[in-house]
Amino acid sequence: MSLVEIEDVHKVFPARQRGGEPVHALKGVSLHVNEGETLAVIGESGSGKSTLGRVALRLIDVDSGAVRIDGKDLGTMDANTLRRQRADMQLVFQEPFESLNPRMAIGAIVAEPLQIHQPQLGTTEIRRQVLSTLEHVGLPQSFADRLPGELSGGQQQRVGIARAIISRPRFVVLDEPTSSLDLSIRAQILALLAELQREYSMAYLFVSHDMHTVEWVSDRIAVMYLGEIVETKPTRELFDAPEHPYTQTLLSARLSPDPREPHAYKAFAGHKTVRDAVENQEPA
Amino acid sequence: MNAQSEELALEVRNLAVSIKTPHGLVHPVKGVDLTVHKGEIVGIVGESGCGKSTTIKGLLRLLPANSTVTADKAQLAGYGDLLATPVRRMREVRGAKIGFVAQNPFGSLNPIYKIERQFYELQKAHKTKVSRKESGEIALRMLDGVGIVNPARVLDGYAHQLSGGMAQRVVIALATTLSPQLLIADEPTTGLDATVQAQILDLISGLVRQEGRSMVLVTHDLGVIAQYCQRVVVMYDGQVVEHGSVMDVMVEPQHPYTQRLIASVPKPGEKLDVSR
Repeated sequence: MSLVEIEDVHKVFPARQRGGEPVHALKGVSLHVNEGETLAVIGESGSGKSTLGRVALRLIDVDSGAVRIDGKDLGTMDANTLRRQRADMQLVFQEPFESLNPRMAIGAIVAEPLQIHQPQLGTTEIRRQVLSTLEHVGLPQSFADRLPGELSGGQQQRVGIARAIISRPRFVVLDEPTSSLDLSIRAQILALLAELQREYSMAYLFVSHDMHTVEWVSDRIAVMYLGEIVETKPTRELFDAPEHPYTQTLLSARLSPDPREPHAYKAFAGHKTVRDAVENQEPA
Repeated sequence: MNAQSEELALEVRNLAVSIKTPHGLVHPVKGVDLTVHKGEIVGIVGESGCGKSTTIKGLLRLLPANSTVTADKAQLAGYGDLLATPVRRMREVRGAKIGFVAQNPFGSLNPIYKIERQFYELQKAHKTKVSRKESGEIALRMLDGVGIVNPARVLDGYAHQLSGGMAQRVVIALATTLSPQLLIADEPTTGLDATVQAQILDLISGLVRQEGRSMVLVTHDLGVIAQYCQRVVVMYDGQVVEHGSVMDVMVEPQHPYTQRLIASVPKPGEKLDVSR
């Protein structure tokens, strides 16, 4: 059964400069995320994938269309209901350091969702859960008293994950959670996310631009291009038989680390990146 | 596929960099050898902090004054020893003898000059006798050569009006304007989209191949190494742990670090193994 449903969502951002064009970030996007599965949303800069991730959590309001979790429409929820609902839906950011308050101890950062969502718990109980969550994400309990700046990038991302899972959400949006990390650290974080997913049966919406990563972690993939989902398929099927010309272009840009599998990048006729589409038009 | 010869374009022996810090001397690069043949693309790969960028900046003498670069040899074909050159004279080498493409194109472009002027300043700085008009024509040709659709419009604009991919194309055009025989690119496509990355790398490697140039390509991306380089140097903790042909190193890595690095790349067709 699908846990999250996004139905025909449109979102337009106003022009940033006077005289500029408004940005149509989502043009009628529909998708669903099943309980316990990982749905990857893949696309290039400006494709609308991060906007979609935020819309799915109602961090951004939609212009039209609906976002539902458990059949409940997030758009029509009053503030109190929405706040309670948020315990169930969390976000892990791309830049771990940017998303952690540099002046707060790790323990206090991880405790915040519990203080908000389960204020009835006493300090001792919250502390106990914080320490056990830290351990769960592979950090020593002693880190609770450290500051984010004292941690490596990989450790910081583990803190971001601890904060996201401590309220036991059923749905987590992962917005490029490993793209700022080194290769070997990346593999560890992805393994951790997979382990936690199995343990707590969380559904992930995994936003990424990296085809190697999404192939590795996702059950299904939705491909975004210029604000639209052009193709959604089970992962294996998408890689074996990409149908949309943009998906084919994207897959041809993959660079295998095995030199015996040469790549042949081939753009489809008319392919444009978003910025190039705007900035480098041929004069009509 | 590659027109590489036995002739050397660059030969570096035992390059070391030390930097004076308030906490004492640190040694980010501890004796690196690097050999580049004519017509060849050599990759330097490693993770953050392994010293790959510092090696390149040391060679180009772009490190701050509190650092010391030494080597037994840093011979650039058609020029001489790079480290025997006083730092102030390196300006004549960079641009004319070695073209440099950095990771962030916006850091390489002057934000307050039009692109056209940057081509002019480059040629003027290297005492090429050109008029503004000739320089403009050369610039048009160069931008056209890097696949910019509307070069006249780009020339008449500023860096901030360009997308990352377009800006990197402009930097590549600038880096090759004076026809240097060696290109050094430090993570030239990191941060760019996959399709743009493939376009840019196809472009640079084409420029190297066509004119029998050579290139050193610094990257953390093993896919870039496997697909675009002929030989590779693997760095860890300021040292070269393994080097050889891409076929050998990437297919049958010998050093445990290289093996670990390659094993951490998700392989096509594989699912994540949670048990690791």
